[in-house]
Amino acid sequence: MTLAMLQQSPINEIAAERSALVERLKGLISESLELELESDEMDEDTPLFGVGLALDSIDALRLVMAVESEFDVIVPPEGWHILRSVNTIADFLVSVDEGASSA
Amino acid sequence: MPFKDGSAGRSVAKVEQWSLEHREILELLPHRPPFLFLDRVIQLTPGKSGRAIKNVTVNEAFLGGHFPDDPVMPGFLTLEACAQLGAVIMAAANQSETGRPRAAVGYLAGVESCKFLRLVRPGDQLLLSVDIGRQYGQLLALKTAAYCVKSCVAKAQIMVTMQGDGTMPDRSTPAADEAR
Repeated sequence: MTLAMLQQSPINEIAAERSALVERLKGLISESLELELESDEMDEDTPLFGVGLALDSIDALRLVMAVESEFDVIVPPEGWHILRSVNTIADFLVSVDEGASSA
Repeated sequence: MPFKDGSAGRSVAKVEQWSLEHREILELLPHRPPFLFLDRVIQLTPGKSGRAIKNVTVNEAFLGGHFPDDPVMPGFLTLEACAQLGAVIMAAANQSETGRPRAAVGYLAGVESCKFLRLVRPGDQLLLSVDIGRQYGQLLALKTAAYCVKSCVAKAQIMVTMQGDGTMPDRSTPAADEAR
């Protein structure tokens, strides 16, 4: 497989979409929570609460409101696992999107 | 209006819009003078939104010190009035087993996007407006604003804590009364 073929493959498209979503989420988190972070300080798998970025419960409410208004979704009340990291939020948004398109 | 006939068992769940006089506010709030900043609730949708009036008079206890020759209502007390209206809105939606609402207090957890746009002085009538926003975990966001003669004097997003079951901490139990 040549490099050109690889770049046009569906897997590559999905990866690019995912990467764009992750960057959008990182921007949303920094902006809505007024975090002063360098872009490499927030990894996709960095825990948002507890260790890692050490956000608090007030940040959680702000983050839920920011994600809901930015992506027009509802984060379920029992959804603490969704807020674990940037990647888990991205997984949730993808699953909501897939649920909507298959319905 | 609830409780006007003194009946304890009257269902309030079906009443969507209320107005509340002073005595009825006292049933929903643990706050008491000189730290009660709602005179009348003029519109109330339990659990959702409310509008209330706070008349500011020269007799207010806090104006004796803020300031002796230049009475101005402290801005944070305008926010406190809005927070008290938020507690009324949530208490009205939080009925006890007897069908009567429980008194409620939420503790302040955060204030955001806060602006104080105008001084509030004796003679001003504040129209307070609160819309209940998103709840997540034990926290609840309130969108609040205070107006005087149709111009906004203060606005903020307030966050308050609640108990794990989604209700405000209940202060109306006998144990809580004894502890006071």
